[in-house]
Amino acid sequence: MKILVLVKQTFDTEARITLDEKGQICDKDVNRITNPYDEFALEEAVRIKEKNGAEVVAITLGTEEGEKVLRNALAMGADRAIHITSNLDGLADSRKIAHYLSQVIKGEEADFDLILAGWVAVDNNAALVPGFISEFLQVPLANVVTKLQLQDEMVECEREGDGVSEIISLKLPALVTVQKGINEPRYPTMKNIMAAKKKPIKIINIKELQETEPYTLVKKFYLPVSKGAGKIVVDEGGNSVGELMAFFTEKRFI
Amino acid sequence: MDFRLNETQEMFRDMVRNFARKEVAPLTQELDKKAEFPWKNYKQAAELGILAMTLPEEFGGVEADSISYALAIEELAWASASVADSIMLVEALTYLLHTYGTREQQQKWIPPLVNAEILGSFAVTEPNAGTDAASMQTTAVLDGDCYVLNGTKAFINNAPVADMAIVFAVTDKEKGPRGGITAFIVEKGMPGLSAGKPEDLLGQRSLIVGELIMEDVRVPKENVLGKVGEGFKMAMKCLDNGRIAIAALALGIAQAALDESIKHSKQRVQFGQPIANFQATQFKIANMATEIEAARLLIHKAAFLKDQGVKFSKEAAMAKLFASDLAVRAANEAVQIHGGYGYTKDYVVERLYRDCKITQIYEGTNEIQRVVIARHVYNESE
Ligand SMILES: Cc1cc2nc3c(=O)[nH]c(=O)nc-3n(C[C@H](O)[C@H](O)[C@H](O)COP(=O)(O)OP(=O)(O)OC[C@H]3O[C@@H](n4cnc5c(N)ncnc54)[C@H](O)[C@@H]3O)c2cc1C
Repeated sequence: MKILVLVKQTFDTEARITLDEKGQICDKDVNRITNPYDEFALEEAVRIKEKNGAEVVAITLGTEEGEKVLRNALAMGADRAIHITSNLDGLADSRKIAHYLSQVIKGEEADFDLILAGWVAVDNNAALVPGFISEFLQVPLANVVTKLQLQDEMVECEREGDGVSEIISLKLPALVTVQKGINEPRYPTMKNIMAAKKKPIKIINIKELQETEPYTLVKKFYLPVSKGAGKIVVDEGGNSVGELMAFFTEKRFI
Repeated sequence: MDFRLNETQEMFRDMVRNFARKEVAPLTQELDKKAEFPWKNYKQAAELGILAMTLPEEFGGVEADSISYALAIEELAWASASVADSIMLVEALTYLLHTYGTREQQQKWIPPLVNAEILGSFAVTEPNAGTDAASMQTTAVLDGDCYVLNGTKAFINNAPVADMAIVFAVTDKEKGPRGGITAFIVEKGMPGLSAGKPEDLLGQRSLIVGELIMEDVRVPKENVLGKVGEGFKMAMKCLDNGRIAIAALALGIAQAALDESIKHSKQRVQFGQPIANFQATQFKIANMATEIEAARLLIHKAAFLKDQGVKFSKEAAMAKLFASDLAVRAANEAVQIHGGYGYTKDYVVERLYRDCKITQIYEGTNEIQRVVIARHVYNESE
């Protein structure tokens, strides 16, 4: 069994996003981490490997600095990794990213049984890449899965809908994106961190791959407007309660 | 010259940081209140290989360098000084066993220690021999196949619950510290061995510290650790290593004090604005941040020298002195920035204020660090 895990480097969830003069997101001096949802995918892959035996391959498309994410994946238990290196300029389009990833998968990794990924990346919140990949590779897709079980040639996935959950069955090879709650990702042990240093990372420069046109273009980035200051009513023995009630009524809170 | 961590050091740090922040920190306040040993975190740390990290592979370690070890201790202490301290103790014990022990001693004791199956103690201090450790009164007299140990050790971490202890005792009073002190592995259950009740500590209250009392304890000759008469040298070597670790522990406390202060000062509003807007607050933050940076550099320098296999005693003493004094200053300022809230157990800084003090006392008081540093400095000037 061969499991591919899509991993992405994202900004630390605590990082403060700022824009530069040109309106681009400032990415200097920002601490980067593995997209937390991808860690659920990795953990799930490693658990399958530990239970049934499997080869786990982590794949990322990103800057050279993104190698950290692959080392982390290898330390968590992946066997090897593939790094499509790119400075990410002009790569805001999810379909374009999926195109490159699919191209590499279709090459030497075409014999995969399962692809796992986080259902969303915490940075751009688009949740589009896995969908495109499933189309490019022509494999069934289950999204936002909270429980997963392999059975013969199938994978059974539990999904939580609004007020009702469902269990769906997909024929392998398939792509499954996972949701928080599916597992508790492990911390890599000291030993596995050391072992990760010796595991292979294959590097493919994005320029070696076939290009494609983006479907979407980012027109502009802007930061959410901060909420205005709250209203403070000072109780000076006067009509502070009335003032407060008037404010609530005006805002239609009551 | 390169001030960056290498990839492995960074990965170790990130792992320990994640672990410390997500698993350790949430339990620390409660364990401190109840003065309970952090068993859960201690076992988790063992599973992650943190207890064995500096040892070779055959003992479950990765031979992590001293910088990685200092980083790990700093991150742990950020979340809990007690957890960091307990882990440092294992490092000291396994260092001694690995460096001086026989194969049998190593195989018997190192695995259960680093797997958190047992707890151990390192026993030098006595009621009448603290800073002047060489004046220890515990004696070991050879009688047939055994040494008979008599004496009381004081302030011994883990003593009330330890399964084994490395005890330093006088085997030759004439020779004193130069060939007259020997290390022994004393085991729980040996007749005549007992422990006092745990001390009611000011800080690091999750440690279990107490007396270790030996009354005619017969310790087989095989339990001598290292050579007879080499004990004092071994203990001093251990303290040298330990100083870098204590410095890192103190740094973790200082960093936590700074982080809590930043958080609180941005939230707390007085005179219509966050207190972070007041220059008086900013100066405190600036001083803390600067000194923390300086302490970290001193610690990494000492660790670097140690890894190079060159002398590092002076630098280790400087790091210990500077970082522990800083921890006390930073915790003090952190409480000040928190005002009355910082004086209550609902706030982390109250614990930091108590946890930091001991770093100026153990592993050689800061007075003694100054003595050591001055001696080095004068020697170098000759
Ligand atoms: C929580 C805790 C855990 C500990 N864990 C251990 C442990 O696991 N194993 C162990 O062996 N010990 C342990 N200790 C003991 C610790 O190492 C000693 O407390 C320390 O060495 C100081 O000794 P003392 O308490 O006897 O102080 P003293 O030696 O009595 O010192 C009192 C004061 O006099 C000063 N002073 C003494 N001599 C000089 C001098 N020559 N010049 C200038 N000033 C001097 C000291 O600096 C200090 O300020 C622990 C202590 C505590 C509180």
